[in-house]
Amino acid sequence: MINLIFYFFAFLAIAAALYAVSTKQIIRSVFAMFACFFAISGLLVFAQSDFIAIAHLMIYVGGILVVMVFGIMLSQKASLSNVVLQKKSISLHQYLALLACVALFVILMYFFYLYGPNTPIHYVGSDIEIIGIALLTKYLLPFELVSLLLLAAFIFTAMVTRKNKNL
Amino acid sequence: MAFYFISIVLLGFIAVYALMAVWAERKISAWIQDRVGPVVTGKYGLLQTFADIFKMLQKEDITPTLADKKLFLAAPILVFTAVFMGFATIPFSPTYISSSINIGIFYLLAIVSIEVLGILMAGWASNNKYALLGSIRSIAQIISYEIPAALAILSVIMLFQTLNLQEICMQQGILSKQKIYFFGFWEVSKIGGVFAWTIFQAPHLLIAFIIYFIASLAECNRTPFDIPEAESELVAGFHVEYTGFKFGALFLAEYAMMFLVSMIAAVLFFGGWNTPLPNLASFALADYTTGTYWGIVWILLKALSLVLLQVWIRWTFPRYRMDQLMTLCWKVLIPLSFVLVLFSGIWKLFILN
Repeated sequence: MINLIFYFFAFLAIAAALYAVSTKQIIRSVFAMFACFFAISGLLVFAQSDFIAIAHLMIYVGGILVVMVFGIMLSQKASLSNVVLQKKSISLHQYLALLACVALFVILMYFFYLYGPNTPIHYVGSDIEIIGIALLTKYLLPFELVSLLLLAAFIFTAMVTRKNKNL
Repeated sequence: MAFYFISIVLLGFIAVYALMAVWAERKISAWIQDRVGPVVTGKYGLLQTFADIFKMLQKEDITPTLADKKLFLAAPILVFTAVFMGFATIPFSPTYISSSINIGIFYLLAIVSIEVLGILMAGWASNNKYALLGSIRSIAQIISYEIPAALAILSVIMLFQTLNLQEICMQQGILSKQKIYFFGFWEVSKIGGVFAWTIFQAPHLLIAFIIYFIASLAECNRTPFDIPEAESELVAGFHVEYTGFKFGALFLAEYAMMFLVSMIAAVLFFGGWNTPLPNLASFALADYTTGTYWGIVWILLKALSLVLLQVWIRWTFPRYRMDQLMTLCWKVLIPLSFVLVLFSGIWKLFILN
């Protein structure tokens, strides 16, 4: 039963990801990405990191996907109808993207080869207390840097969207 | 096996509750507006919504020609599933909770964001300008009001130091392992009852409840924040193209969502399954009225009273304008809830220690 659910999520993640890059309708690919993110957060639960799973759901589905959908909806009218994605000859930046994907895949496979499927997981518990204490002691500097970055993004957005530049 | 049984009972309960809530809403609105409401079908019109739902099931299930058919079908399923998933972490009694995970309330906040996507999907797939406008409004409203709601919840959680809803309930009554203080000066761990509820554990938490309640009204698209489905402007908002059973599912999801946010409010602010009756000297009322079955009764009573409050507000207040809605959220509720979070930290550090 558990195995079945795991393989269902794995299949859903791969199928949805493939559909997201192959479909010609942008809005459908966004919703396929939702299915993909959802399946990945299901897989994260299997990896015994349920906090990360929920955070993944919250950030990607509640934040990034909604912003993407808004971007598509508020862009030009042409993109509201079925947009035919360009299928010309492959240009340089597409080769670069392919290179990046292959590199990422190689790195992932390298670590998979290094540690193997039978390496026992060093489980310290997904308790939020552990995560909270780790964030505010060991990883305090990166945590604060990220929050500074987010604050800068906030201020920048407020500056860009302000109508009256003199205020 | 028991797990599946309880899930099915819960689904049935929510379906029946939604039907009865529609009937109650019509009766209460009639009462407020000095009308009679449904009277013909059954005693006091009790069977009115059952008749309505049977009518809805028999209706032709129309999909607009230009709609995106797959998404049009998927949207009501997604919305309803998302709302129903939320009930998984709600404790119903000291002994029964479907899933006692240590990230309960965080999970609930994430679930609401899935519902947002379902509404967007419904609005988009209908290929109707009113539906699209309604869903855009709905999302702008929900993702704005998530922030004050989350901060109000955070100010409660900072006092309890846990995200597990069952433990939050435990810390509001006589079963608590920690000491509970009524407004920080009177120890009520053994007295329990109404004095041990969250809203009486610190003076600012009543304000936190009010903020959470306003935000939850907005998240359910209820009046005074029902601009996503404003009848006079947008026909019916994001579900304007839906008919038959799909409309029924969306409708059910709206009432289930009202119930879900009321359950969360009951757990976080009103003691969850804890009894309101305190132990008075030899009258150990709290000891008598705490238990599995009492717990279910108390939490359902609390949640249904909050649903009643939502209905009451709907028929009392006029609708907000979009800019008023955003002003209230970003300029009033969010700064206020930040102050509450700060105050919670101070209270935890200096008063309770």
